[in-house]
Amino acid sequence: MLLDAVDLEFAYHAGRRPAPPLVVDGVSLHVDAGSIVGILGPNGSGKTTLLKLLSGALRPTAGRVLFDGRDLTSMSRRTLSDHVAVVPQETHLAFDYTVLEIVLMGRYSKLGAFEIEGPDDLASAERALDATGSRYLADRAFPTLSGGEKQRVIIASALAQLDARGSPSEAAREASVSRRMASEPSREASDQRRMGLLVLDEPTASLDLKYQLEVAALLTRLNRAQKMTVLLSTHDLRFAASVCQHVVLLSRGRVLAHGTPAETLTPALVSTLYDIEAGIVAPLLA
Amino acid sequence: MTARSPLTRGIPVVLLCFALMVAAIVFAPFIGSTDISFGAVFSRRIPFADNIDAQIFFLARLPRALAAALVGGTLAAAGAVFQGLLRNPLAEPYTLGISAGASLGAMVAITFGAMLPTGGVATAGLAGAGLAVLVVYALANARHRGLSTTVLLLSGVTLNAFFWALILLVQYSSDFAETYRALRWLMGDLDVVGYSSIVTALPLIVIAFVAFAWLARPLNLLSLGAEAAGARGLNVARAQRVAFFSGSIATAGAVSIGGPIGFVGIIVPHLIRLVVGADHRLVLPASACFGAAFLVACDVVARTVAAPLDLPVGIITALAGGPFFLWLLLRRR
Repeated sequence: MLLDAVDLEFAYHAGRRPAPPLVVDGVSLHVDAGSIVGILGPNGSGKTTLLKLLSGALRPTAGRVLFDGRDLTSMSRRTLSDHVAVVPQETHLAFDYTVLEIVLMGRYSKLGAFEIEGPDDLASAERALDATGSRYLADRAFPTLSGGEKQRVIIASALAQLDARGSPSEAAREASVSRRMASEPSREASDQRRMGLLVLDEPTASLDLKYQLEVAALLTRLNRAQKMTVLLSTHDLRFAASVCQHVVLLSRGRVLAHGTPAETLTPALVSTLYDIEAGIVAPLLA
Repeated sequence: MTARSPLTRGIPVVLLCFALMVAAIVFAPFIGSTDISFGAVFSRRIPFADNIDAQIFFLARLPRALAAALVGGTLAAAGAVFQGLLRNPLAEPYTLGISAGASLGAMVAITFGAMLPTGGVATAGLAGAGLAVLVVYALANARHRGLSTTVLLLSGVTLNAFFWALILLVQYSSDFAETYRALRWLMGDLDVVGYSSIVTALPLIVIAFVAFAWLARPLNLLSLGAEAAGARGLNVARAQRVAFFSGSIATAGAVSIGGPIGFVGIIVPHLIRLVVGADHRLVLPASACFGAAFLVACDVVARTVAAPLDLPVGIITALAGGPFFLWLLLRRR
């Protein structure tokens, strides 16, 4: 198990009187390494807040989140960013960075304050651009890209962030692993590299059908080819059904149901989730 | 794709800007309404007390060129920092009310100067800037764990208006001589004699530039938004605080030397971005060097175009820089 959330609670402005309402209320869930887990729910159900708790951007009011057995709140920002990368719903830049510059920003935590990206970082950026099919965009200005291209580039930046190869801590860790497990050092190191978690908040919310399919295909490819663990939020039933191996239905901050898409995306549960008639839901799931 | 960081492509531009800055500081003191000779300035045969050329060079024009370089470089770099911090291309060193605070302090010193010690105008300007910085920071930090850039902007704009109302009130109660002095100060003027104002402001500016060097990468990440920057391992609250305070003390230092000289802090960073791109590791040093060269050149024009009159350099920066920037912008589109 890569990520384990236990009895999570969260309220914005906790501690004020009267007590503010819980946005996340007693949520427990787990994410297995190498899986794609989707959090599905209507607007205001607490999906984005839950993702922020699970990625360490917010501290829970109660409960805890364990990443590979370690409490997220005990991890430094840099260590956390080595293991968890976040792709926001949309990215707006004030200035015209190139695609390569955006992807290289994913290497921030691997470099010292005044260090310049070296060959390892550039190789990592190239791998990330290749994995997302964005290499031809490398020299383009980010604001000139389409919505789908932007999403791919931000995913590439997240992949460069999770790529431990070339980082000082990884070099030291690999040396230690090699000493310990002389028989199968490369396999162990390779498995460790996949310990990253890619978190995406509504990755298709602002995309048209073509780009939605493109992002779905990309996430599936990353999961299969690189064993990437993916956690995403969405309110798109078909996207969740086509991409996710495990779905958590979130309603008013609580888990309504969880399981495989076949177990959770049923007309009865979905009609309860969105508070609409089951007869309307059935065609949407077809 | 190359095997080198994209950063390396912009380094020649930074070096060129540095060369322009050095050339501007070296040559500007030789240009002016009175011709001076290079040989006479550095002559050891004429005592300094009798060497008019050396006195003009070392006591009038060189400090003025150095002041222009320091103010121009500081305002341009601070402008780039504020634009990055606020994620707003329209931000400049004066957006957050720092110059209005400094101006209020200076106006009070000019109008009620009899009650203040000598050199009180620059000190009062620094005090006013400090007051503005603290008020804006307290407001922006009040309801958030980190700085809210939206509250920061709104507080700055409101404080600007409030301080300007107070400045007008102080001016309303001034006599003609005080009003003229105050107006000249508000136009931005580099009419410094000697090095005292430079030496007073230098420590603030040096501290700010050390912070700017550290800020270059964090400002790049902040361009993605606070949450995305945090997810990449940046301590967002700390980076925002460092950017706010270093940009503010740099601006306060620059304004204490030359008054609120406009235009340099907003136009130079954009001009540099058109050439080197958006990476703050290039934008900050190139802006500082080019801003320095630009203000030295503008000051030469201000000193010579209507000689023997000295025009306020703030007029020249806007008149010279504005059309040039628009031309460059339209040419690139």
